[in-house]
Amino acid sequence: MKTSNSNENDAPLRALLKEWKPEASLPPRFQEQVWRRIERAETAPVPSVSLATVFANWLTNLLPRPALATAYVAVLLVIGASVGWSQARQETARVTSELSSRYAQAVDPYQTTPQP
Amino acid sequence: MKRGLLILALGVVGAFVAYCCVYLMGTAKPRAMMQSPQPELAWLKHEFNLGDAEFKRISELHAGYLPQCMERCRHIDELNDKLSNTLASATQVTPEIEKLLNDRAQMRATCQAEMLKHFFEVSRTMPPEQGKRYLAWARDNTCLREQAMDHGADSHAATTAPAQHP
Repeated sequence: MKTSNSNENDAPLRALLKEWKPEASLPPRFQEQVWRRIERAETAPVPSVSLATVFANWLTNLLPRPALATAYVAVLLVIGASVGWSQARQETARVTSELSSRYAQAVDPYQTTPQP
Repeated sequence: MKRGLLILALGVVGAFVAYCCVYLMGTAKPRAMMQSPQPELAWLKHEFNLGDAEFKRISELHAGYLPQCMERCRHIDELNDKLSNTLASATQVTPEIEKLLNDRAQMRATCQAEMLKHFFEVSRTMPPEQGKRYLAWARDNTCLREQAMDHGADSHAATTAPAQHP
């Protein structure tokens, strides 16, 4: 009931809309200018992003992801352990060599003390 | 941001802790050796896998050998001083100088023979395989291995007779 009533009211509006024709015309060389703007946008240099911004972005958005956080901590643990192992090996070799020389020096007085 | 910083710090702290743990575990043996009363003997025990009984016996041999070795060194020092004093006023080789040279050489030979006896005795105290290793080490790292003779550049020119100098 209500629908048919609104259709009756819309009829003049529809007729008026059918008669209406937009009179605005495009500015001169509109198409050429659009293409020029597209070209300019494509050749324009990408705005540089500072390292601090990248780092802050990484810290805020990427690092908190569980998979990346786990991988990051695991990699640092492995690096720390590897450096520790390498330095421990060097220190062990140094002490072993020093004590070997000290023993040789103790039993063999002809040993020459290594010059520092 | 706060969570990211926390993870960042966790990684750095974790790396440091991992470094410290591995380093301390890896250097536990050498640190223990350095802190022992006789680090060089602790090295011997570690290097040649000695048991406590073997180590005790070798420590006794070591303690018995050192005073005799020092006495021989003192004697050689005396001979060196005498030789230096005699050479200071000498213009040619005198019988006294010859005797001092012979005495010193004799003393050095005795010293080396006693050292070798000590090495054999120590090696016999070790398990056979380690004893062999110990003798090989002594051969390579003590004066038992003589330095090669070298006359410098002139030795290449003189090709007629091989050098026989002591």
